[in-house]
Amino acid sequence: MALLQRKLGVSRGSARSQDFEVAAHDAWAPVEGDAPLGVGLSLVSWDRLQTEREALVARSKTVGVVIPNDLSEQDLESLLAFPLIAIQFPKFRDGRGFTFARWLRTRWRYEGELRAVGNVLRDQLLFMHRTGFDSFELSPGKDAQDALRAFDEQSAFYQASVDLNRPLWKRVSR
Amino acid sequence: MYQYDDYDRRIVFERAHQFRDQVARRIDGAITEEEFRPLRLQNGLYLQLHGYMLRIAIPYGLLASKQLRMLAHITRTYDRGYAHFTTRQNLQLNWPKLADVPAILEALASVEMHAIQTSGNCVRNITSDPFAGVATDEDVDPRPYCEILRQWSTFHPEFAHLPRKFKIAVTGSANDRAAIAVHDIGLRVKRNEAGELGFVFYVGGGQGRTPVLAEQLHPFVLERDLLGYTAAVLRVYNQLGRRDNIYKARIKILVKETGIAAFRSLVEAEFARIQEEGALALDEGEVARITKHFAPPAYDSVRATRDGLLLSKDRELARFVEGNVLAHRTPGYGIVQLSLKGADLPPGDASADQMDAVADLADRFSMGRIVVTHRQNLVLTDVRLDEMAALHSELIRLGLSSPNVGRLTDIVACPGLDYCDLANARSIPIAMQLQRAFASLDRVFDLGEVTLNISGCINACGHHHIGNIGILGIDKLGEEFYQITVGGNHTEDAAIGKILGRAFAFDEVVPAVERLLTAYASIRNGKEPFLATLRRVGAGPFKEAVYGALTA
Amino acid sequence: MATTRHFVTANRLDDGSAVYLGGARTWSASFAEAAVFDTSSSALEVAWAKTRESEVCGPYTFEAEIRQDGSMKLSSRERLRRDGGDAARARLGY
Repeated sequence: MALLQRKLGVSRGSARSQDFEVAAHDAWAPVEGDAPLGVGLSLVSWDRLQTEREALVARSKTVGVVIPNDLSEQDLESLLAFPLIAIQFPKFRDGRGFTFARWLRTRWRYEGELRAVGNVLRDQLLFMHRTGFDSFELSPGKDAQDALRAFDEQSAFYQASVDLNRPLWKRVSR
Repeated sequence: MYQYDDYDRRIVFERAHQFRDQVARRIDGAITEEEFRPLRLQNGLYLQLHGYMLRIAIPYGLLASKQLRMLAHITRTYDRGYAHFTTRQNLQLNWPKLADVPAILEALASVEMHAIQTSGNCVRNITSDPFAGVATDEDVDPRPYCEILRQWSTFHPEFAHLPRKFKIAVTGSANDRAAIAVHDIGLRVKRNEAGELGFVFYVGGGQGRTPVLAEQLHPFVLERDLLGYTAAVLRVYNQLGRRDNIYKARIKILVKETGIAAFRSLVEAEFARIQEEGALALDEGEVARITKHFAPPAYDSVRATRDGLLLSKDRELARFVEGNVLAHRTPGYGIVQLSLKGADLPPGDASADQMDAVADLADRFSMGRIVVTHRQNLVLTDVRLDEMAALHSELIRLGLSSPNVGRLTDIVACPGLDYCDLANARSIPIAMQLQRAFASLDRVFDLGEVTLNISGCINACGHHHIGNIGILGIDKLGEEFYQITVGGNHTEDAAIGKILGRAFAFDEVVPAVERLLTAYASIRNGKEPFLATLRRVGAGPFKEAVYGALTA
Repeated sequence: MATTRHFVTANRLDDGSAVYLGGARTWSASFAEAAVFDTSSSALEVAWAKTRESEVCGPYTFEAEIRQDGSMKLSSRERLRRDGGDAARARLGY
């Protein structure tokens, strides 16, 4: 499974293919079921968080959470302490993750890493970036280098979003 | 009309280029059909019974003559020489080859057109009053707001994968010619008593399997909050709309299941946050920038009157004016409707030659503009009344002079099973049979104003629910059957039609409609239109007339 | 006694026209050349057809009943598909 991520130091406002890279390795280690957490960065499931919340919050700096895309707003708000939130896209046409990302960024000012996982298509990457995602786990078998080109396919955007917080008419003179 | 700047152009050209790449990847096998399908749908490319269908966007139905000429060129070069104007003011081609579609999109981009978001679970074409800008009863021109919504919703990153399609319509007149009551969001733009401009905001209307009229969500959303409030509605829908069952996924279901009051609270809460963020507030500068593209043209001082034309010795011209020409807000001018309904071709279809000819007529007679209506006809909005006779002769020559607009043979029909993958029954042959059965113009005029709509399946693209007479194709054991509904209405006095009785076989439909209209003619008071008669006496006498003879 | 025949059909990738799976796994626009399958073999063929994405899209199987007199009963949809695009155009006046 290939992981694309924004390069270190590149602002969230910018989206050209050179701003992203195929990650050489994933800093986050997924933790299956109720296996013990390792010493590094651990990615746990939402269910695991529910059963061990206190313990995980206590070491939140090294815990990331993978969440389904049907959580309540209160549930989302409870995640802000974790440095990585990975949002599931169970089918690519289920677009709830875009709203979640937008809320996390603009409503709760979440500054950690937002990752899109699940059924992630190359042709959604730009929209995911625009709604606040930093990294993208491509569906298996997909050409990651080719996927980077998706960021160059559109260069003008009408509406404000997380990446550009003003509409086109305020960014340029029309 | 709106003129693209470099940014608008870049957006459509990049999209065409992107699709060219996506088609190449599909043909090469780099992406699967399952992955390609949403991509082609987002460019309006469907796969149907006998071929692909490409739906080209005509924003709020407005075309410049050069755009109509390009549509003719595309129809001639890449298709079979004819195309279909739809009930959402768009254009459909029925025979494009996959490998040609990128070239079609590039040709469209060259005249400021596209096929973006004409399919898929996203915000679709914003439709409006075809007489916008020229109607005598218009309070505010809705078109600038349609254009503002169009730009804002184009490639909106958060709302590209909604639970289902999303349709918005805007009217600027109390007389609703945009059918806002049956749209996911319907907007009535007007000024309040303080002179402020704003929108009466309706939500949750729709046709299809469960037709329902929209409910009022907000009595008056101020102009500057248009995008913010719309975003709030879309965000609530994106989060909470059903995704488990495609027949329950439209916003109308969410509104019904949540209840309008609770739904409103959710929207208001989200809107409050959006207002705080401030990024969606429409400023006067942007509204002015868009609005100036729709400034009225310079009109001449013309002495001729519509009444004068009604008295013309040329009876055919007089009848044409009576049927198809409406009063214009500027004296001396008329709004001319061209009927694309006749016995020779499917309703709403035009040949490439006809499209070229209408483009020429628009240049010569109507300031180079053409509008598509949601009843699948065309409008020339600014015709001098002293040139009406000349225009009429040209229309006769082109076979576009039928004065039947708004009458029985102004039939609206979806493409149906002859083309469409979703259909249960053919709709076009029923329309053509009805055209032949009611070929007498005298009879059609005598029957007065009546709308007849045909849908080939419950998706209701023919808008049969809002026809005074509706015909719905159904499948019974693999055979085509047709239900007749009566009492629908597409104006501000909106209504959903009710089924009259058991369904009819293919050959029984036209005789049934004959009996229905014969009953109307005998029951009506004077010139009372069909809908009024029906409302006055109820469906009973009509049911008796249509079915009584069969059970006797 | 009526019998049911199964056929496998799809749409060509290049122009979307309806095609039928014939013998030796070839695709033909002519229904007359369509091979007959039973329930299980038609399912297998559809699964195979799904791997032929460079040629066809959306394969599926449909049934036709053979009446006592030997005639075939097709649904309206499959009848129209069988007749094809040229017949549709002729019917519609083009």
